[in-house]
Amino acid sequence: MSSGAEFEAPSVQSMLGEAIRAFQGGGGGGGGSAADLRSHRIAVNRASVEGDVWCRRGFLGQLFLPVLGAQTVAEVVRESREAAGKLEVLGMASNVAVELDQADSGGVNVRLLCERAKRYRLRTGVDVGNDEGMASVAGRMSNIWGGGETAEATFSRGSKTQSSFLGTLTAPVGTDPLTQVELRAAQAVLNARPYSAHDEVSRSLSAAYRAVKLAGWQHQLRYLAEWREICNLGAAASPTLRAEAGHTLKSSVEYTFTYDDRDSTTVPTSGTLAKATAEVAGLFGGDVRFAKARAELQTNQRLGASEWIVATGAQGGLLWNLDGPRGRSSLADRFFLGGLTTVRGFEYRGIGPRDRNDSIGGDVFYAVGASLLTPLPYVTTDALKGHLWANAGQLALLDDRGLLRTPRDSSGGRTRGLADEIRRFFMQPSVAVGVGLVYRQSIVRVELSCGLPLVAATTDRPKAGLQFGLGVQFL
Amino acid sequence: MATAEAPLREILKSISFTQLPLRRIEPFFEAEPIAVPRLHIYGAGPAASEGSSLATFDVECLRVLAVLRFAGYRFDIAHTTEPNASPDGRLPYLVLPDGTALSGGEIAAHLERTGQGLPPCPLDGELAYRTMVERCLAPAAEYLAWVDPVGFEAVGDARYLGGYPAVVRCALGWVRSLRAAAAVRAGLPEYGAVLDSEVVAENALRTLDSLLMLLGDGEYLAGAPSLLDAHAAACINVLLEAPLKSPLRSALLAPDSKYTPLVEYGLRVAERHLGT
Repeated sequence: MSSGAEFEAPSVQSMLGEAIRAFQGGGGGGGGSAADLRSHRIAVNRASVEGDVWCRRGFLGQLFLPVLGAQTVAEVVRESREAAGKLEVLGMASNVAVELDQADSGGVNVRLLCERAKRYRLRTGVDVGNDEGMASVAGRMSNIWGGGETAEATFSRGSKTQSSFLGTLTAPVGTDPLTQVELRAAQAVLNARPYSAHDEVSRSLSAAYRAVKLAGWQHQLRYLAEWREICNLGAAASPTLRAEAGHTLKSSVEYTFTYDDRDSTTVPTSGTLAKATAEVAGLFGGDVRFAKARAELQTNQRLGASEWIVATGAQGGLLWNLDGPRGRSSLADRFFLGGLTTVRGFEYRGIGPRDRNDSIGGDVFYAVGASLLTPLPYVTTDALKGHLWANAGQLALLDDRGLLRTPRDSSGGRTRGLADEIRRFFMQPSVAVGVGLVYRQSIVRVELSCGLPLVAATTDRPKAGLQFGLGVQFL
Repeated sequence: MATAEAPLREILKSISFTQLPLRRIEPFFEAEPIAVPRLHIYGAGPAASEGSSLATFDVECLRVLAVLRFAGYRFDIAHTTEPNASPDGRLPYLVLPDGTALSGGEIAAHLERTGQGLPPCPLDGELAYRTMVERCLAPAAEYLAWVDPVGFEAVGDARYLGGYPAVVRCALGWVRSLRAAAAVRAGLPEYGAVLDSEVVAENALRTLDSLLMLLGDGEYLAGAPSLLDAHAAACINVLLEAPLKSPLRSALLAPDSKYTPLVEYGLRVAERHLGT
């Protein structure tokens, strides 16, 4: 998950107390109230950083520009506190204290007293993604060039991702930790067995611009160059999967918009998540050309003042090949559906096009879900809840093997037109319902569900009975 | 039925809902059926054969094609340039109607299992001749396509890698070239790490001399189509068809070349068994 930079809003009241004491001690405003002092006009004479910290001169200039431009005591306190917070969030210093001293020439001097921050970090651990656990080793170097830049390298190995290397270089835009540019190099080997008999090797370079707003908005614009290889098919792979084997080079521009005001990302009890991604490939080279869009909406609502939570979610996506009516999308770009984090009651990648034992993926999909989280008797913690759910979804290809094919009856006659097939796609989803338990463990959501598939295509892989999973994002 | 000894097991069974109805609907996908076994070989298809009548420009693909044609096995041909689709990552591979894919020695084993294998070769020492072709003649074609700079540009890069984007093409070409050089060198350990085109050509010409003597006035090397003919004819045709001048090609096609009967043999086998 990306670590959108966050810092606390400045505590104006505590700093005002210090300012009052300073001014009263210097005879600058004896007997005045905090409210009067808040709007007292003042000039910042000098701003400095002291302690074991390294800052580029240009960075410092940008950092203190708002401080030097503050015109009231409240503004000075607020901007100073914000500057201190930025140093901490960017990993340039720790425990930054703000001191305001009366200057000889009138006005005030602002000093940021910094303690050394850990510049090098080595971390080992276990990470959890959707339907996957990974062990990883990560090294991180902060404040590389005195402007809050961070370099990180991560090696990991997981249940699905056989091996993965990720190297990132992140830098704030100006001094704002919530606006970043990122360069990334990555290589991963994904083992798709037993859902699809192949490995997928991905080697990529990307450059991204990311902006996070405190009101829950996040924008990201990214350019990605990725070399994908479908390989190691083995003898059991289906002929359809064999036709997907090989190398493709994707050069794409992607924009992602996210609005998230939920109170929790794993087991939210209130708030809304809205996320939309648009990607266009082939503009700057590469041998795949497509336009791809994906959207997700999730709402969470508490019923009155009770502990009962109603959650609804919807996802949808479209991959449109730009190589003409005969073009087929690449397996590496398609959507997959099914599993505990998408449509429960089905195996992972258990919905949609399938040839023998291989999930082929699709170009268009939708999934909807409704959940009711309930309190449990005799359970005092709100991390464990009962869970009633209903999920539905469908996935199909947009080529002559999928929605654009002409189904024929046993005598070879045409049975359905395109319009009928599209109508059937939306009116006949694969459906499952179930009950279970949900547990919120730190940044992970753990679910134990007993599912009952109600409707499934003959090639789907419904999974009736107990399903256990952990992840971050669920439908 | 639940028992005192295994109540938990029975409870878990009842949770599986195996007895409850599930409505099945028609899927939104139809896989392409395979009615006839399909052999996937290198090539961009008949339309891009550059005037050649050969089904493919690759030695191993031609060899397997010849074996299947000698055996009278009924199959279709599909052209591809993607070896990742094969079970062992190398072309050719054969896909059966049930979806099973066979590659390498599995194809010959499949012919034996279905009773369509080639009859035993009457030639004494056929294995020795095959080893000679495998060790000295086939590496010449491999060297020409992947190690020789001019050959790499005309054959390896243009034919095998032509369908890839430039970045992928460069990376794969470099890796493939290193592997081919190592494989050719490994087959000739007496030369150690040093190997040049003259050594490769000299070994190939010695092998051609032996094959020429073996052929004599016959139509096939072993009297009838055999595994030796499949491999030898594949190598000879690839060397003849390569779109560049090479010492071997010049020796084979010289006006008064002693290898003329061998060239005619190769073209004869190609015309009968190695076309599209």
